[in-house]
Amino acid sequence: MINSKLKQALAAVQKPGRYTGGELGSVYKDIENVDCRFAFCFPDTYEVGMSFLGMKVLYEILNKYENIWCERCFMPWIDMLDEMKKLDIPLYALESKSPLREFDIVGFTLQYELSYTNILAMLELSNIPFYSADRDNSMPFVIAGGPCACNAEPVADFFDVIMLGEAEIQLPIMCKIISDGKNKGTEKAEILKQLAQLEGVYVPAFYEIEYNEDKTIKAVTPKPDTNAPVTIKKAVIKDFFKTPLPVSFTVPMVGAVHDRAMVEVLRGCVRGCRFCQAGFIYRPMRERDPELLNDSAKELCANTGYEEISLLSLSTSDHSGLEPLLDNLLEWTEDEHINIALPSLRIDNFSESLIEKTSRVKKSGLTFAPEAGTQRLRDVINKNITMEEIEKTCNLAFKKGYTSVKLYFMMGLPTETMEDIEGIAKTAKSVVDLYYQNEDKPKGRGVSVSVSVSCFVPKAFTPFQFAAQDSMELLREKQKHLLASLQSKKISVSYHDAKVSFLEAVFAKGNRSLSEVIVKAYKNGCIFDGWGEFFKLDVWIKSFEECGIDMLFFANRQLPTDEITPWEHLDYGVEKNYLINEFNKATDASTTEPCNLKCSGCGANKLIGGGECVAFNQSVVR
Amino acid sequence: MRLIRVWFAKKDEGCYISHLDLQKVVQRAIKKASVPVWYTQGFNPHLYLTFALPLSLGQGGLYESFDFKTEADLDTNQLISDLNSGLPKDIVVSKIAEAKMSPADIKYADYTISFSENMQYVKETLEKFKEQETATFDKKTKSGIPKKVDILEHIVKWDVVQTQDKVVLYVTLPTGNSFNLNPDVIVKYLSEHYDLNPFISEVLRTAVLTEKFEIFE
Repeated sequence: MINSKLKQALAAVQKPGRYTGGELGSVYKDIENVDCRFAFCFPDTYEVGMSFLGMKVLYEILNKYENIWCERCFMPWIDMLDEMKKLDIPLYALESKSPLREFDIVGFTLQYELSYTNILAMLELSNIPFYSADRDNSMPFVIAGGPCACNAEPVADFFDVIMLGEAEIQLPIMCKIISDGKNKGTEKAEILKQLAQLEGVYVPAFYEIEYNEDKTIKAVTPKPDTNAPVTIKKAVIKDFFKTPLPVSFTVPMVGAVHDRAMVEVLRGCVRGCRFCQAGFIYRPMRERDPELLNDSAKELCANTGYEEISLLSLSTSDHSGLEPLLDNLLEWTEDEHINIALPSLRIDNFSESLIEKTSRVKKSGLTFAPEAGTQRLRDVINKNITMEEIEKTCNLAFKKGYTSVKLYFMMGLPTETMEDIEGIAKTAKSVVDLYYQNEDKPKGRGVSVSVSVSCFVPKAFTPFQFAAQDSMELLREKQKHLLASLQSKKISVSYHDAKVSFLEAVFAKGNRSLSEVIVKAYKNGCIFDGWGEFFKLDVWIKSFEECGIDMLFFANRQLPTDEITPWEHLDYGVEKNYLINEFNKATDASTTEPCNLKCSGCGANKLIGGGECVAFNQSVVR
Repeated sequence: MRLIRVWFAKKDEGCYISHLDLQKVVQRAIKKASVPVWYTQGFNPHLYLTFALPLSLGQGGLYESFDFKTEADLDTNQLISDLNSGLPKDIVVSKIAEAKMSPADIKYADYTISFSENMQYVKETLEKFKEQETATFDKKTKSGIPKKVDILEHIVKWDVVQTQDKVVLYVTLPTGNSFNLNPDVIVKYLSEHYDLNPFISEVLRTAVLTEKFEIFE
């Protein structure tokens, strides 16, 4: 129901359709018949959140239970936020329009560090206290999950529970424990104790953190009487091959960033690029059944009316059954004017038939990620691709009529020198040259190569977690040097703002002392930090100073390998010794083979019961 | 080739779907229902879809329509349910038939404007408003120079009914391509001159009419 206050707010804001719900595929239930009300909160705008596959996965899984009602909630854009404050409208979930405070569970997804202040904004708009310790039994359980959960220490004090790993199986169990407990009037602390026994469930309040005098961590120990485990192991789906995927999305009416059918073909990644957090925290790599994928894609398109299917994963071309899957998809998609997109391709196994299959319906641009400009640095980061492979792939693409190529790089990688920066320019230039040397290139058309350079942010649970981030000054110098090294007008360069990456690095390796800073920065006006126009580094710096906390300590300090990290008590399968070993190998520019060619013993196989974790002989990795 | 007209209601949350978004929503629903529609024959084929009279954002309608072309025979009852299963919950298709008139024939529309709060004041205000000699407002024009238009002069029918929980104004206004008077201007006028909270009102278009006040078909 839209009451007169909400109506007034909607009349004053841009794109009110973001705040009304009612989209095709949204689920409505009778409050009287549900035991557990779950508000799935995405701490960014509707357009961003509605592009997120994880929300669709859990929305479908939870709503399959008759007694659970999962609803959606997004961060209102600034204009709506002002209206809601002015008119005293509490933040509500889109389906029922009920205020978040009336829910049993309010769950946030932690997708990126710079969304943390938005979480506080959403809690404040709901009249829910920020800190877990300040919320009594009458309040919803405020929980979190997602990739940043692997080091959620900076926000740990805000949450009652943080879920590590894959929530598909654990979340319904949690919902039951929480709603049963609430219905029986069980104390919150008692419910938390039960939850802490579940795999992948981390109750931050149950851990005592001691610090050394130099502010490094001395020990993290479970508090007495909590019975909480010493290390919390992430939850993982063992039989991913047959795990169903969502077949009916809520279809946004106001343009989402990625508005299409998304099909997750595999989880995890075999490559072991040393900077990549996703490549380590989602291990081991598991494929889905191509037949299941084809059937689900078909059902999803039939349910939503989408005209594009995106085959998602960390590295889609590593799926051993990709070509037969594409053949099966093409059998019905072509007749229905449905386009297939492969967003995550690798340069080294991009075949001619793959190009043909994906471009048969509609031609889109090509994007590759060499990540570093020289072979030496690519060996350091274990991005095992060679210049020959880059050339071969681009040649192939040009021959097939592509005229624009996007290349992703990073700067500020460990051991990087100015020579490596020049290498970025050289790589881009050689792609331009290749185009003009190619006899089969499209007639009468020029080439455009766009180079996108981000700043390296060391992340928890990667071999580079020990590395320091380059200072902002050095990163800016490198950006200037790159611009000076470019010679062709066919190349356009864009790079990330070093300021943003710096703050990201502080939180990526931050500890619990930072929650205070986030609250302070929020009160000082920081919000929507991920949106360039709202990012205020000066306010953040001031807030850190007011709390007496050194930002450089987190972002720009190399960690001794024997230092206790803020995430030491979390277990994502990959062992610390392995990370140390990989870090040392990186320093020597020595590479590690993909794990389906040769197991390098990271330890993640234990998560699925030990033994080999990927089908070696099915692999398409050469 | 036949021109098929689909009648639908747009209500509650559906009122906040903009016209542009509604076109996309309907396109997807048509696709999902596998309607054998005629695609334009250009370089980039797309389905031919026209809406007779787009509603303003926030207004509802019981008698809205869009047209598509087809060469196939349609099972309209089946099609109604197929389309509805692909539409958001507050966009509901009720009738599908071959188009009899042209959208250019549209001259008037019936609206209800309901007020569910301050009913006594609303009723008095509506009476006072109707007794005014003129009620002019600045109408936006294509040339960019606003034109003074008297609302009262253009009101075709006017009737106020009070029920238990609301005051409902039944009003017929000119609409269509030649001259259009949006019922929002009445609400806006009342808000500016009588301090009536515009957000307690709900505008609903109940019928679309021709010059001779026949139902548009």
